[in-house]
Amino acid sequence: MPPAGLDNLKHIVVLMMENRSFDHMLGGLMKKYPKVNGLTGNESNPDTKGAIAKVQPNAEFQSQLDPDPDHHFPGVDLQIYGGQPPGPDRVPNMQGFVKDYFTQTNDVKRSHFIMSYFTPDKLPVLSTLATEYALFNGWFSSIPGPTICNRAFAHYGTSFGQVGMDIFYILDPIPSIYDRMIKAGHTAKIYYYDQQSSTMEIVNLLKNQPQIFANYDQFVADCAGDTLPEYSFIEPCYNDHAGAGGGQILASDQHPDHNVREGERFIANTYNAIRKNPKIWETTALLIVYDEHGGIYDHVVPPACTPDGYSAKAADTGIGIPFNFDRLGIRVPAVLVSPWIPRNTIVPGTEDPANQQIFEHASIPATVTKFFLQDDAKRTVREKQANTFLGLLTNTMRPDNDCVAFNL
Amino acid sequence: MPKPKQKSKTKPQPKAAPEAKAAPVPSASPEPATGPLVIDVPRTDPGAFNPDRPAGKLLQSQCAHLREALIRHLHQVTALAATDIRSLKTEGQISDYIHRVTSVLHPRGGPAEKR
Repeated sequence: MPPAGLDNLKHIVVLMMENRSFDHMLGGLMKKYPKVNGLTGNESNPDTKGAIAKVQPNAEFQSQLDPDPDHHFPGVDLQIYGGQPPGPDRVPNMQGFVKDYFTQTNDVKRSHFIMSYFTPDKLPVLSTLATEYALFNGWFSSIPGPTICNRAFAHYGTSFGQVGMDIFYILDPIPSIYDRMIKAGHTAKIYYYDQQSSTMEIVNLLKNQPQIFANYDQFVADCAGDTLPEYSFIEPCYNDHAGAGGGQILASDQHPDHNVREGERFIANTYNAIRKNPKIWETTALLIVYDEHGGIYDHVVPPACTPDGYSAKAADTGIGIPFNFDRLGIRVPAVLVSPWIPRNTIVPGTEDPANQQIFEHASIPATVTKFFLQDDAKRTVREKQANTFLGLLTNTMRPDNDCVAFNL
Repeated sequence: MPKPKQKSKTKPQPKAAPEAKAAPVPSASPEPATGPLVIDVPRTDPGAFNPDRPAGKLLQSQCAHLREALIRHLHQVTALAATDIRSLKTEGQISDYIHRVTSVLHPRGGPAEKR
């Protein structure tokens, strides 16, 4: 018999933020919580002058990572391998972040900012959720590359051989998780923030309007009105723009150089929307995860992974050799929230080889498919073998007064 | 908050993918909370709003993707507009056409429930 938390589960909600690494956002937790695979303070990278740039607890909400750090395939290759030329003998060492950021800043001092991290007190929402519920020490982006291909793994369990930002059209018989759900008589939605921000999952899913898309206000209303779909994917606001009536709508995605604190408020608002309705709160698992690291330092070497059956050509990777999707991208923050999860649950990653549980974005459609659909043959091997995360829900529901609340 | 009911029905548990195991780690302060922890979330600096910020690659890509989607959409609309409606003879043919046009003009309409 499954645990009561799983037996009561009716909704899975995924909030995918933008472009921040695990160490940058949560690495500072290790000082108080030693099981968190974060930062000792001694991690470093060489800069272009040969000096050592250590990690620093001086991350700022805005204006520090401007220009936007490189996170395209060649740049991430440099970050992971420290500048070793492609070849079978090179070893990933996570020593190329400062060198890579220098290529954009052309300023040695500014290139060190890529080693910055937030202390937990500066991120009260994400840090609190990470310690009040479950934190994944080993959740990695799916590809050592940028947004669109990584987000594709969350929707399809593959990027169909893409490692960049180009539009791709689905000619392969692998349906999105939304198509799978709706075809099987289930409910699923992508909630984008508003029409000015819209969605990053455009061409391939637009055909499914209006079944699949709704805006964020509708998400809040669906939580309040007990009309939340079985699976929901939330997109934050991606740009600053005027709101209705002339108000100011700030980007809440936390993509550099957008304000990190606004993203904190968006995460808290999403949590509150679920938390305020007991019927939804008791039956929902909320995953907060970042699409990729955004070029920002993380000390954990991305592990090898099951290929998804595709290969990106050398011309597309930009590093002179093809990529067979056999290594994950850089580690990102990931937190699972539910009242059925004990406080301070930490899921071990590569720091604990005997017990490690590695996750990546293919774990999202894998989990949704496993829970609601049991199986779907039209999936990549990568997705079929991906770890799923609902086993963290237990038999015991924490009482209301034992679950954090946010005052916005 | 009401206590959860123990339901007799169980969710099917397929065996395809490995499942995460709960691995709770004792907290630095493991004693149970006596009341809800309420966190005040700081407001964002009012000066953070900057619609004049140069758009990055992500937003430029999003713009290109939306334009591509619009072109596809226009192709569909053009095809609908070019339909010779005199060739639609049956209620089924007419309703199919009406459905496709209405989906363009009122995309949030959605399908009706089957009666």
